[in-house]
Amino acid sequence: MPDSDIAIDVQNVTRAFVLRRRTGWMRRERSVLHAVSDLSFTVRAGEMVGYLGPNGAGKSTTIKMLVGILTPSGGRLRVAGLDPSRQRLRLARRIGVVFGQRSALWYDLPLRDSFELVRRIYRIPSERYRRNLDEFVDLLDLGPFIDTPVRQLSLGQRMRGTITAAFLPNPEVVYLDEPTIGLDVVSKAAVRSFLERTNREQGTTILLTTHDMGDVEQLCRRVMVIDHGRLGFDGELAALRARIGGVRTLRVDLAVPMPAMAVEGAEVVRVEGTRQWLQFPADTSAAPLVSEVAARYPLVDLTVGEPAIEDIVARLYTTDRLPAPRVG
Amino acid sequence: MVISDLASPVAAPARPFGAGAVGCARMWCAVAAAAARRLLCYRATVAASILSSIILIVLRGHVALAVWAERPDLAGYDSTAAITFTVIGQSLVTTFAVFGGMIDMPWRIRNGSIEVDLVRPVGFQRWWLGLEVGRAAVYFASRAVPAAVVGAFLFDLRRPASAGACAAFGVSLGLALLVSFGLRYLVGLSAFWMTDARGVQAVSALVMMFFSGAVLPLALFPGPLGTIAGLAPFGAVVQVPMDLYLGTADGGALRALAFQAVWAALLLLAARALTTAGLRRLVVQGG
Amino acid sequence: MNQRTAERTGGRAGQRVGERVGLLRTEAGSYLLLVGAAFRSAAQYRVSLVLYTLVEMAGAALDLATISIIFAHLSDLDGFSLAEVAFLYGTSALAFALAEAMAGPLDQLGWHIKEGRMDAVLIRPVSVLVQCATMDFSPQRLSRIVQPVAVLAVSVAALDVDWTPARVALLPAMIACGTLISISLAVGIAAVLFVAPDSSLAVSAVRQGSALATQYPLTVYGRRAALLMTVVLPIAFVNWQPALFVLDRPDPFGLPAFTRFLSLPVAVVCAAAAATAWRSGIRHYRGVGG
Repeated sequence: MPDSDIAIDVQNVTRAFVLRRRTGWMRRERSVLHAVSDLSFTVRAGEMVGYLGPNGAGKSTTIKMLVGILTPSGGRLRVAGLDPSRQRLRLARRIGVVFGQRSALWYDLPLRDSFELVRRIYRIPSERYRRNLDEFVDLLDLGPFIDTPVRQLSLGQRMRGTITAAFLPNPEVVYLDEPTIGLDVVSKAAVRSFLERTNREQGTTILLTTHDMGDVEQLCRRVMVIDHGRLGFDGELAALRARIGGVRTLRVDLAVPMPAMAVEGAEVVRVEGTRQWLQFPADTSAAPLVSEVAARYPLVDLTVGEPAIEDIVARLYTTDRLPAPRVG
Repeated sequence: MVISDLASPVAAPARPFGAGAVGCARMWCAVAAAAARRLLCYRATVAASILSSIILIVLRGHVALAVWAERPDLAGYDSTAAITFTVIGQSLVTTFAVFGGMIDMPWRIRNGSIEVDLVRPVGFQRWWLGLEVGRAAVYFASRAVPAAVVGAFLFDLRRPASAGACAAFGVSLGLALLVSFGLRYLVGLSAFWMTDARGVQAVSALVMMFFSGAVLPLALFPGPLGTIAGLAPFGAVVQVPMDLYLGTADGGALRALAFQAVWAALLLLAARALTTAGLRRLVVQGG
Repeated sequence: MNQRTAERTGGRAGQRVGERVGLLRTEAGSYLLLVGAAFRSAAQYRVSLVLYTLVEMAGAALDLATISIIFAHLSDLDGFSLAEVAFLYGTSALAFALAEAMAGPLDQLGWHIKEGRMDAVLIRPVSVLVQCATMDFSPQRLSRIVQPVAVLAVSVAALDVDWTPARVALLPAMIACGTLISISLAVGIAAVLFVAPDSSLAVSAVRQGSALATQYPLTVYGRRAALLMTVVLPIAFVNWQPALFVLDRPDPFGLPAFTRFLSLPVAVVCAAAAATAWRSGIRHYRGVGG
């Protein structure tokens, strides 16, 4: 892989925190928390990667190290060829960050003013700025509230504004930390389609931390799962699904109401009139099952459902089920 | 990767230095302007601040008049000079935030918003100075001037000693801002090392207030207290500008301005060093 | 009206008074409970407790230092000696410090309203006033009374006054009334925050201004201002008027002799006015919907 093609390069990165707790009147207890242990991955330019993990897994710590707000205790980090902790200001020009809970917008000023300031700070040529702004206003539907003070905006509007601000300078790499949390449906959809389109058209590398599986399903082909500071999975979403398993659902519509079907390799979990739901192991093919049902029962229609992402990831988080680190 | 946009930063050539400097200055002005605009949003706060200044002006003004009535030439000021000193000095207090604060760095560090500041491609100290200039400009126009005008109505004030004094006063205001910024910025930086910087803030606020000359002209301070007051940087914030206005600067206008400039330089250099150290500590240790 | 009706009416009125007293007692109980909790939580941070106490004392020292510096150059201010001014300072600072410790947290009311915390407050079964006063209670503020007590003691010893029983009795009375007036001032002004949460600065400015003004003899401010501080914003009754009696001085503005003893009635009136203002403030907040 040519070096210029790699946006994010993480090698054996560790980060430990020393915690001091007061036990009793005078004594102090010292413990070491390994937020991130031996983390390694590479992200090519233009990829959109989902970064999953339970709370406290080390996602935010990773992002902070990639941005340069935190230095690693060990290992090597390079973003766009630069060392974030040593070349923070230089790198800051080329990246964008969206913190889910914290906004980079000026609280009391209209949204537009914050964008103007971004233009000045990142020294975006006015032609490109105008073009970008028009496009983003259109994509994220900012028009109705772009002149409203930020403090009067809803969470969804604020997030759309924050994302715009992060993307205005056409950064090479963007980190998004829980961008859709607490958003209304409309905003969520707008944000997702914006990210998908920007990634596709601009080639922006995007690392997306999220708990929302809808985000992952719609946007990320590749996911990394981190837990207790270790990377548990790094590969395609489909592969993750396949590996962890779970169950798939076959929804069958029959011609007449019937008692629960008896089919080999599947179990009926629900019956409602002419409709029945069967569950079968996710790693087996649905084909033989479908043929059997079609052969033995008056079949009108059927649908095959994928296992719920929540289910998959929850299984992944259970420590004893954590598969060995692997690149898919 | 497909470079679909030829104007993207990946394809952009390196900027020539000149354009970079202009861009930097314009960015800086934009930051100050944004800070200024943000403050103007709250009209009630402005009114309240003016009221506060006026109350203090009236109270301290009358006390000053009573004191100078007993001792007409105390500390080299006559009664009118003393009252002018008190009124205008007091009206400048909010502009220079002599009571401390106005730099919410410790608060941002505590709640993590500092991360947003660190992601910006702007120098840390430069950013805060930009905000400060914007704030001071707004406070000067919206609080200092109205309060001084009201003070001029209530008391008999003196005009600047001469055109030269007026000019020196103007310059000294700028220098006073730098000194005041340096002091408060340094105090704010303590939050990088201390989990709770409020004690330091409170103590420094008292010291700054008392030794700036806003409460009493420093010339009144007896003995060793007076010596310390004369050498300390705090006096550069209110005492020096007022002395230049009245033409009563010890040793002449240039000496007074030099005093301010030297302290401003020292404080800003110290601030730079501590900023680097503080940021390094933050990124190595974590929040 | 026969005796039975009279008894019933008297009984009902008495019942209402009894209710009010009971209510006050519950409120006082809640207040002490919450204050105790604040003390305990402050005790967790031993280092900061000591530090802040020192800071508060240093803050009080600032005003005293100003007076000391003035008297380094003068022998008397407007005809008042150092001991007399120190007496005025001590009584004022003590009353305002006590009030500050109890009602000072009301400063934060504007902030709480803007952050949307008032709704949670209104739901709880404790009076809004008690909650606001205890939410940001800091035990360190109590340290502010140490210095004025010391100054007061020293000035009393230094004063050349004929200590009649009346004068001696008036001392604690004037402190108590002064504190009540100061608390009423704090509560009454804080009520404005329900209507205009942004004016926190104005609220604390009026309080600090009152505290500062009464540290000096009111003759310093001229006749008009002094009368304003007697009739409109009666801070003159915090320490100035009773002090005139203690110091055995004629009223420089020619007010009748009995005004010196009006501190208690003035305090009661102020308390009632403050309570009304506070209640209207809450009503306004509820009506507007926050």
